[in-house]
Amino acid sequence: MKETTKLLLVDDESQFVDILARRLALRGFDTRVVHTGEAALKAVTEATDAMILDLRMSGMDGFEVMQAVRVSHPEIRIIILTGYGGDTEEQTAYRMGADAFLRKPVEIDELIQCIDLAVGEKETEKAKKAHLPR
Amino acid sequence: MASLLASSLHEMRNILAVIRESAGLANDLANVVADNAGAEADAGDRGLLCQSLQGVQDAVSRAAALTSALEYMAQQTRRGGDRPRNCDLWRVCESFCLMGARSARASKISLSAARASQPVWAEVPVQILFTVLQEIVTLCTAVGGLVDLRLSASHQNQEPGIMIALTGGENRAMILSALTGKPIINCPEPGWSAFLQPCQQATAGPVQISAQGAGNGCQAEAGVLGFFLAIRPEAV
Repeated sequence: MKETTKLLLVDDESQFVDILARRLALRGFDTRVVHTGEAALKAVTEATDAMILDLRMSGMDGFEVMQAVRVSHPEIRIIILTGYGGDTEEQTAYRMGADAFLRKPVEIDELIQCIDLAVGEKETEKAKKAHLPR
Repeated sequence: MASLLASSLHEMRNILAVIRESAGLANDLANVVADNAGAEADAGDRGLLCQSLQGVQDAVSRAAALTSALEYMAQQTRRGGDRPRNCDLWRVCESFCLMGARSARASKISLSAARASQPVWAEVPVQILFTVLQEIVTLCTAVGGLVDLRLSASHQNQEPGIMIALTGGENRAMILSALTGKPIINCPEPGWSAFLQPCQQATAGPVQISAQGAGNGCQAEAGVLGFFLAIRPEAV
């Protein structure tokens, strides 16, 4: 049986991210919300499947969070969801290892498609690794 | 001006995102409530539904205010924003706070505008005002942010200007020092100067400080709570 996808949502626009988390929860996702980059680094665990990450936040920004998470938890999928990003930010995000880059406001179906795609790839990679000959 | 526009557009995207998600959640919850229509309606779902709809209304109000601010700046700077024209400094303060809020928030700088009881008219180039205010916020960011700034239009010795009160924030004292050491702000237009005078309170007169002391990174004057920003034509 497929486990519930565990998401960590990181955004300092609390009104937005709290509502988004609730909508994703209604669709069966296991969501956890933090409002700063620093809190994100504490909240991320091995069990986290994907992170929905804002770029411009007070204190630690999304790029810094992504850089740290790519080192500590390279298997976690990172989907950037920002109201800030231009082309430069998008290119930088992909170069740093983002799995998707979305701009606010986003259709929830589009976001879920991105999550499913990213987490699906992760599962496929895991499965491949599990079948590798020792 | 470009950074103000970028901040405004960032804020607008966030507002639209809140509207979209609030409306989406309201729709989701309406479906849940409809599905449960036969059973006793869930008070929690109904409460959330009302909360979501309130969120939509609040976000629309924020968007409308931001749109007005953008419109004001566009009108004031469309033709000859670098030339003096009679403008209400309260509207400048309000527009600036709305447009600059998002980028300021990234540095934990809170911007607010105190409404004046009546317009405070000044014959100055509006573009300079926006640019100089942005420069002050940039300076606060460079010092580390973490400060609450309250802008209000007022007069000092019958001269119209903008009172910038530092009302709170962890870095308030350091930013008071930094701004005290910068009595003249770089003015983008030739022929004009921007002066920042320390004030003991929002309605009090300016505090005299020596340029020498200010240039040496002196401590903020005791009792200084804010600054009076005046834009003046340079003496010919």
